[in-house]
Amino acid sequence: MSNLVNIRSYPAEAIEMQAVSKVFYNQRTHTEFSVLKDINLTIQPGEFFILLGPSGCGKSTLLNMIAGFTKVSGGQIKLGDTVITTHGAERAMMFQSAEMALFPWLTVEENVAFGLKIQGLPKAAQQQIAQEYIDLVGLGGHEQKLPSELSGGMRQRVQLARVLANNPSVLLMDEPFAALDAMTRRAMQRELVRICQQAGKTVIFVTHDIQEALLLGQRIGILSVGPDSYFINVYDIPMTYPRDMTSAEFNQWYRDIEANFQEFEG
Amino acid sequence: MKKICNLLLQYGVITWILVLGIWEALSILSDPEIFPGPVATVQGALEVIDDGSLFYFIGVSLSRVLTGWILGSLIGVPLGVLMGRIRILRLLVEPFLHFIRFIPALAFITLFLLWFGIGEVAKIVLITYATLFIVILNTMTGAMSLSEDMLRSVRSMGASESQILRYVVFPAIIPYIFTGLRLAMGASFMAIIGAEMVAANEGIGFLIWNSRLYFKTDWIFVGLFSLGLMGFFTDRILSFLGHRFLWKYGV
Repeated sequence: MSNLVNIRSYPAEAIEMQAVSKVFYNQRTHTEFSVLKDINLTIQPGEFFILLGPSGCGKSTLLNMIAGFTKVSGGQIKLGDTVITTHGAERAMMFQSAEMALFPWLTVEENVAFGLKIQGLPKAAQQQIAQEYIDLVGLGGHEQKLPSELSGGMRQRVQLARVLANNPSVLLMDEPFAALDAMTRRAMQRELVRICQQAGKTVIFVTHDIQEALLLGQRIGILSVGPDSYFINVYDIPMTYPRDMTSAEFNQWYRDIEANFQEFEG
Repeated sequence: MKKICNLLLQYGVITWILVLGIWEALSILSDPEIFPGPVATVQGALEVIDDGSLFYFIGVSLSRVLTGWILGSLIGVPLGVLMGRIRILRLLVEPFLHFIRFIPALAFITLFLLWFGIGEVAKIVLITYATLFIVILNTMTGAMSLSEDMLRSVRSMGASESQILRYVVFPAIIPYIFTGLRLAMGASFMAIIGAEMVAANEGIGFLIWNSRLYFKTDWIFVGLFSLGLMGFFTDRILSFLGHRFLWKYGV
């Protein structure tokens, strides 16, 4: 996209999880709790991957380990040839709550330009790139508003624009649309598909909503109920975008995945 | 009519008419010599305004309060931020902080006079002390309350710790700092009056304390009123400035 100015960019690299496990220590009961066990998975560059599973199965934990915010207890996660030990600007995290993640004292434009300011880009370049992504997420005309003056869906768009403006190669999304109303959620899902097809990023998207998973994902990894969660199944979803959730194919997938869940919940 | 009553109530006019009325009544019912009413107090006020001492004393007390308060805030805010963000530092300092903050500034007057002399320094140190812990605690609370999502999202944009401090932590805790500053202003007024009563020959505290020698209870009331007004107006000004310039930050 922005080739006019010198924005930082990162090579598209595969994410490889090798025998990853995570154990939490409960300080109150002095017991260990194994959240994830023996996770092996490779996510290809440019892939839209869904982490699907019930609450408490360790989806967010896995996402946070890929982001580098949480340490692995065993195994390793690699980005290309590098083992992930800490966070990095090539892996951008998008959170469920835009209220928590955005800066309430900055305007939409300043919020979106924040990562660019951190990089030390000249003011004009910051504005130009921010504008591009504000337009991309459909917030043109709202540049000078504060987050408190926007609706929940618009705030989430700001967060998306801010993340994209920083030009990461990997987007880590932790149930970003879960707090939105159904209508806004649909619109955001369509937008995300459109944007990701344009921008060619690797996306790892956490959700517990099968329908959302099927609307968005090229591959869907289903995690079992914890403790010791593992991938029950990783589905390739060959349907083309944009996906029609009323189609027979979509519903067949829905039934298959739902059945897969019930089988394991027993 | 109803609208006017509402406005009068809103701006405290009715409250004050009531206060002054009850005050005057109580004064008449008791001994006006030891409990002067509003009328006597205004007469007393005219005396100290005429000889120029009232406004001079107000100026003296205010400048002491402001100097000490600004100094205390300049030290307290950075310390509070660091303590909120650096766990080791917090663990190290907090036990002592929660001990010393219960020792009121006034309890230190004698020592401060010994250490810093009877001049202005002792009083300003006292105000600084009164301000410091309130500002530190409020700032620290703010710095600890930052949402983890916000910090993570800026870290994942590649921000360094010093950039996070400057662009995220500091602006995010401005409401906490501001509350600390306002509370500290109140504490400063309390401290300065004590100090001026014990060791000063000018200032509102001195006026109140000195008036006992002449049995001028009306001057004491003038002093009390001046204090209330000084506190009220500095707080109003602070609050106005906060809303005017810091509203974006949630003040």
